[in-house]
Amino acid sequence: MIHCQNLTKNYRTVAGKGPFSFGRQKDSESFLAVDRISFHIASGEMIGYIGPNGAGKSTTIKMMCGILTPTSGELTVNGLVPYKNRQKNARQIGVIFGQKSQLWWDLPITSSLKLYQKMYEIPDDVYHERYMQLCDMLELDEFADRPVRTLSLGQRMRGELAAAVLHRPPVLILDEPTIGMDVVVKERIRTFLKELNSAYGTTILLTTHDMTDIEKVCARAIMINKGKKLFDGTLEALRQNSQSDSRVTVRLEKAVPPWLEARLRGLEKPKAGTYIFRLSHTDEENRLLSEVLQNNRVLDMYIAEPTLEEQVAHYLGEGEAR
Amino acid sequence: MKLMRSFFQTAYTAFASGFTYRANTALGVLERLVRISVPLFVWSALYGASGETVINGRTLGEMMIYVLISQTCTALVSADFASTIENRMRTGIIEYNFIRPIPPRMIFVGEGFGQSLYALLLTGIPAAVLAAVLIPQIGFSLSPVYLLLFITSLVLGYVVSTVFELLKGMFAFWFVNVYILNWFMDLFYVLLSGAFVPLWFYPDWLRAIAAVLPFQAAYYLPVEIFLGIRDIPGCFSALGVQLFWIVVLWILQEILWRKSVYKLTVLGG
Amino acid sequence: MKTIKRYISLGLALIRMGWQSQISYMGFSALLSYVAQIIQFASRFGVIWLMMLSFTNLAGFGLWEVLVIFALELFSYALANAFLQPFWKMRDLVFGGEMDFYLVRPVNTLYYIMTKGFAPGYTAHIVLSTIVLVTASVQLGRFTSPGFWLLVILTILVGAGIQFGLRCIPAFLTFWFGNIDNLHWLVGQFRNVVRYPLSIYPFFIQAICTFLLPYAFINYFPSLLLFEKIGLTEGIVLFCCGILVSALMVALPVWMFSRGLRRYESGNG
Repeated sequence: MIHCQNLTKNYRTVAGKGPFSFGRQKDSESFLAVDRISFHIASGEMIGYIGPNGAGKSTTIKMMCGILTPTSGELTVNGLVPYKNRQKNARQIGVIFGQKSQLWWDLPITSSLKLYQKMYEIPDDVYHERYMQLCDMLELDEFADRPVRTLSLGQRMRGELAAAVLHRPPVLILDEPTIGMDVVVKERIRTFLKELNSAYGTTILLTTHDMTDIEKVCARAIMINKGKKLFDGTLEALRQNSQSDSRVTVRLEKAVPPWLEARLRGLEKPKAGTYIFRLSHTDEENRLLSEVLQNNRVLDMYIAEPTLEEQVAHYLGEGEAR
Repeated sequence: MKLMRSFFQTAYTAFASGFTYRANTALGVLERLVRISVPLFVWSALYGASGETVINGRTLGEMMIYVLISQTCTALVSADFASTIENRMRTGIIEYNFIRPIPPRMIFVGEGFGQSLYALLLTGIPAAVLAAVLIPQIGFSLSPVYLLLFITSLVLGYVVSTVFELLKGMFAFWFVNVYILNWFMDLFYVLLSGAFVPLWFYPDWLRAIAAVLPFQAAYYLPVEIFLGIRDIPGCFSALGVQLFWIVVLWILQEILWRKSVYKLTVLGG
Repeated sequence: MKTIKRYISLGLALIRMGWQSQISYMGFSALLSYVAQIIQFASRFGVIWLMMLSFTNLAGFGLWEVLVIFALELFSYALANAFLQPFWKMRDLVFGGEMDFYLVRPVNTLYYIMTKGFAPGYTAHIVLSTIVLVTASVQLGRFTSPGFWLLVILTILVGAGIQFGLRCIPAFLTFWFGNIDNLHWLVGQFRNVVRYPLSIYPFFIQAICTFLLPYAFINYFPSLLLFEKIGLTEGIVLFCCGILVSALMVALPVWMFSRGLRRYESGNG
């Protein structure tokens, strides 16, 4: 469905020195935003596209939308080369840019949707049917007839989603859709994405900084940093590969003996008598944990697996070292 | 005092902000040059077609001076801080103007002063250039007494327009749409101020209407003094008219101000 | 054929949404603002009337002929600019990424921007210009002449094309030269120049308004034909030149936009 091979984007800012160069960048630099990325996304997959700010995610997405021309490499979306067939490609993708709206600000979402109906030449009966379905899935009835400017952020995003998928595109691309939203709204959006995928087989590509979005929605993650692809695989594989630590939190009844206390100095101590051990490759803390358990009465203990956040951070740390 | 210094600081910031884009300023001067040249050509052609040298008691030379002075005066009184106030009310940042140690109205007037100076500079340069070219040909002379009276009148005219602008700004506090108010005011300004067509060309009935409104006090009376149309007592009566309007508008503005501040601070705007 | 139908249907829908948006945003004030704008422009016409009160004609044109010249420029300006509002924010479009909104949809980008950006506010200009044109035609005894009206309508259409180019060509330079917004202010200043018959200006200004900024074809040359200031053949030749110029003033910015878009997409925006 989405296929890229050695996709590269090199931004070149041109020096400006003419009499009218007010406001233009003065340096002549090139910035390699995307560096020979290759991946293949099959139809119906739900992919999380993750990486820090400036990693190249938005650039990749813009190329998929046909908004940006690649410097080199291949990129096809459902067989089409996006930048060569912008309008044709636009019919088969739906896009959500987190901060930018695709709705008319002073009009109700139904007005925007009717316009898109005309734009995509959707017959009336098909439009009504789809509208009903979207109302169902997104609960649009609550606010469908109020101007968008009066809606809350969550309601607005539901409207945006409707506007993005009205034409049933096989591919839906979302760039930071849940930014600034509360947990309830985020959950609604995640549910919608899963329903969309199961009902219509929509391929979904999601970039986000919220790892819970990825955990709940995506089966596979592609990680990018500084333009290069660092990881491409299931979340399970990510956990195994990231080698970040499980943490064991132990609460002891009595204070540890002094000879042991010195060796525990490097550990996190959230409260008096509570220690956090990180289980990793180095045996040090593992052995310490055994010693403490042998020598003290344990009041409470629990184990936390690394969060996706930590796994990714760990991965990125490793990635930079390479 | 410190207040004076803050006033000039505010004015300077507003003035300097016009220069952020150098090319904009250069283009601005060119724009103004075009704008003030047009009436010069129009009056020339009108006089030419009529075949007379003196119309309604004025020569073409005096008309040209009228244009240059009038356009420069207009630039001086052009600061539109009523709209600025409305904008700030709408976006909510008006409160920042109230929490500074300077009285808010002084801030508005200060900013307006800066903007006026900037506009004056932009229009003044081409006007001065044109004047330097034209005046030798026209042969106009100005006695020191009249010059003094003119400058006084100019300052008074500036005060009239500033107080009027403040008065308009008061309406912004009452959520009256100042833009629309401005458009209506614009009508009076264009037709009744004598800034575009000198009042001596007006039919008597229209001139009478213009005489009872404050617009000519800001835009036109100084020009009349400059051109020497009035004799000395006449000039003083013109200054008197300006003072009258300053007082009247100030009182109106003061009343509205007290109410507005009450509304904003006690009732929460 | 089907595409044309689709585009027309889209265009009409977007224009309607433009109206609805404004009413939703401003409500009753929208109507008030139209009235205010009409009054504002009426006052400009009023100034011309005042000016010509004491004179017989302006370069051979009587009062109503001068008003027709003014109205032709105003009408064609409004017709074109009603769709060009988005280009006032060229910087946001090109450097702020706002262009993306349009690019992710399967429509021609320029068309989409123009129709979505329809600004109903210009209706006031059109209403007023029409009133002036009709009144003038009555005053000049041409109200019932079909030839007059045909020529007027064609002139307005041709003029709209030229106004389109005059507004867009400086704006689209932003794709290559960054913040050049204010060039269009200078270009716009010449509207003041061409409000009056061009013959009152020295040759170099007439040349600028014919060969550099072809304002002359919008109202002055057609007025020569309309009011029989020149022979029929010469008038028609001039008019045909106007049609060519108009076509060029539409084709050039359209081409510029597509090249500019290409540059935007290659990431220099």
